Amino acid sequence: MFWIIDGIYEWIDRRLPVSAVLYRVLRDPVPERGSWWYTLGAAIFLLLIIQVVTGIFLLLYYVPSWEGALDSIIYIQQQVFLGWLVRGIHYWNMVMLIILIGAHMSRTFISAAFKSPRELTWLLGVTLLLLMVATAFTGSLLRWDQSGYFDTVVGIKIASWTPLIGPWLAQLWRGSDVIGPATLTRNFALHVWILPAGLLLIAVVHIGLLVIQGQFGSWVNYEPEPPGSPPFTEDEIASRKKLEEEVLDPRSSKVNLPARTTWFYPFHIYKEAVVTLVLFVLVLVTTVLFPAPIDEPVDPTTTTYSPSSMWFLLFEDQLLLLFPGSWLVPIAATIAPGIVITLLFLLPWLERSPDIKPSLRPQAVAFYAVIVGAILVLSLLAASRVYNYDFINSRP
Amino acid sequence: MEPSLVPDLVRRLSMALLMLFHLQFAAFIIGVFGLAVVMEFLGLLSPARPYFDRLAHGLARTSVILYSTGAVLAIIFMLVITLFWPTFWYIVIRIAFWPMVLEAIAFVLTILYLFPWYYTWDRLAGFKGAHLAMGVALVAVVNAQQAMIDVMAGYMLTPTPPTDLLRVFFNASTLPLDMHRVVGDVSFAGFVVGGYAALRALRSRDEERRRYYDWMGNAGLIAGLGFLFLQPAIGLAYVEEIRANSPGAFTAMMRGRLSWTFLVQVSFLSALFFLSALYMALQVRKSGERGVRMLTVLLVVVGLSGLLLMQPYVVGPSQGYQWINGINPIGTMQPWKYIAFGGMTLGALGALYAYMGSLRHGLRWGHLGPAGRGAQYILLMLAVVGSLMMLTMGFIRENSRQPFLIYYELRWDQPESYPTLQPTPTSQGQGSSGQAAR
Repeated sequence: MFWIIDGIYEWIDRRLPVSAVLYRVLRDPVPERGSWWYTLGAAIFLLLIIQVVTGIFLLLYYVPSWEGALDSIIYIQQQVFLGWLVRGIHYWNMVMLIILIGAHMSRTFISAAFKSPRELTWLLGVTLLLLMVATAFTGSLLRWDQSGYFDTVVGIKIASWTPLIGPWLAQLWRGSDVIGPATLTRNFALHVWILPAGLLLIAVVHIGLLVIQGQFGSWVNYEPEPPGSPPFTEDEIASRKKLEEEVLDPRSSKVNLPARTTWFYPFHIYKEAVVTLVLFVLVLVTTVLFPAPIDEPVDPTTTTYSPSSMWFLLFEDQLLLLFPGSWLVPIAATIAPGIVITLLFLLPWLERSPDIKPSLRPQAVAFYAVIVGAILVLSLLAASRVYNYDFINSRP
Repeated sequence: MEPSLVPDLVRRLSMALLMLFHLQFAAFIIGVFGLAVVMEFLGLLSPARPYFDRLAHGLARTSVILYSTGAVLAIIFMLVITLFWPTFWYIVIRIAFWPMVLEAIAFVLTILYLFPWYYTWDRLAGFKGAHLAMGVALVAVVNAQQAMIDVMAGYMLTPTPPTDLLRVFFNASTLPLDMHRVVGDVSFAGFVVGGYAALRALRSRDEERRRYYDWMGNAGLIAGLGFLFLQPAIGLAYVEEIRANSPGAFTAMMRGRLSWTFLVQVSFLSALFFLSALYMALQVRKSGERGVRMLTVLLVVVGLSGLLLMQPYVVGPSQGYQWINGINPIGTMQPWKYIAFGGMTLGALGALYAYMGSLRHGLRWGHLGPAGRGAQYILLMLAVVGSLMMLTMGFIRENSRQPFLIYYELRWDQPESYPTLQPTPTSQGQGSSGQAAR
């Protein structure tokens, strides 16, 4: 049996440089210290693959029309063998992915791993976060239930406050004057084809850049070894030697030389596998304990339903509270988030100092901490407010 | 003692003073725990590790000493509330039994973490990670203790059906109040630590000590100001919850009998921002670093904005609220208040950013000339203003729901809230107070 597989592999390898690519990727020297922190990227990529696979399974039963969407979701949830599990994984995996991309970005920022020559890697990472949020957002309407419908109502309303192009953007998204079948079709196309294609393409380029430029790690890898560190092993010496040669090679894009390195395979890939497995088990347990939600059928005429933002946009919901009135709403709706996103994109050029240790760049770290802290605080405040909506509404 | 014989004024005043006094201790200690852990952590990253370690250790020692005082005040509070407000206390326990149980557990855990955390400081010097983990656990339990108190404080202002435990826990104002306090505690502690450091710096004759206390004052100010930036946004969320759930209390605070206290509070807030910016300008000037001109401009922006912000509501274009078809396009707040608020916070944020840039280049600590001494006096003023602001906020919150102890559920002057030990006529011919007498 194995000789058949070997034969096929050899046949392909003669035509495509599979072995060469695998050797390049797997026999890559990576920083050793703090390497558990550098496993999130691989976890994101693997969970993204799971997201695509579960999405394909859901597509087998999903009906992208306003008459059949909710019924097909209920059918998947209640009738299809393990449909509830696949849908639950798809739902909670998306939650996990958004959290992980945020954590991965924060780690990259603290480590200063976005600095030259990794600017493009950072830009693609920020784009990945935005695409992931957009994918989650467009997926919500596909349920065609109350919460999905009103998530989209809120989202389109927020988009409509964009200065100059807001109304046009809202119209483009809706496909008509009201949210209806055209909006569902457009969200379906975005969620199933356009955004995932972009996500996968950018993720592959992002990883390719990482392989070409080498893993940076963080500042601890460029400091002297702490006292009492164990002696270098053979693998560490060999990997360090290979990296030294690559850094000295003018054709190579690698410029950083960590103090202690090891091979990507099998040492680092083992850690990545462990972290990914733990995260996936967490998704599974959450799926079993908290099945993916389905709300009531869409009723745009309701006067009792309290619309709110999706969980990852709750901070935006709270921000809107701080800027009431039609003239100020655009600040919260699009200008302030737009400024933050622009700053994230421009970060490698805004923070050009060669310092990598967080204590040597207090302004940048403080600024980032304020942004992350503000998002967390605003989100929690909004969650508390949304939780009490129903109670307030029920009071005489 | 027979409660009814105690004049109302004494009963109310004793509670008010005791709680305000207790809160100063509690808020400071909780803030200091957080600051100590953060400082210890920063020490691991910073080249100024000896200073950070010394500050963290000093903060830990202070918190250990003060914790007992705060706890004693809390116990006196328990005795006084039981004596003066027995039925109210009984109702509170009935409604918030589980939050109170959790609060007691968190209190015990705090004690269990606090002393090992402090006394293992030197022994775990080689295991900073383990010591930091203990510190983080301490911060978590002490904040959990505060959160449980906030459940009750929140409930009293925005009550929910008492039978629904989840809603009691997460009533509308608990989370905003708790966040306001968590952030406020650290900010308050930062300003007080800065004030203490200034006092020591001014009195030190030894240059090394003066250098350290000068640096410590700067660390306190950055913590105080840094966390202060979050407060207006959280405070606004808190007020919005009060408006939505307890409109009478909101009206009393913002438009009624307590509105003057809000002006006082805004004045304190403006003073905190302005004095902080002034401190930073003086420190940069003392060190002869670049950026003094920029800081001076920002100081003027913060000062003018603060002055504008603290003006009463009636001063200004009060006729301009309904501009277009009866709708004010910038909400219900006065336009110039928005401009002032934006100018003040953005100006102070810019000043902090510029100041941290100067810190990167290295400020000179110690060597207190006129500018350096001025900076220390500013820190002292900041500590005083910070304390006054804490008192004002407590006063506003507790008085906003008057005459209710629990908003629209229980009045403070209801006979049921303080049994007189005398039989009072009821439909059964026997009142609860009569039962208490037996």
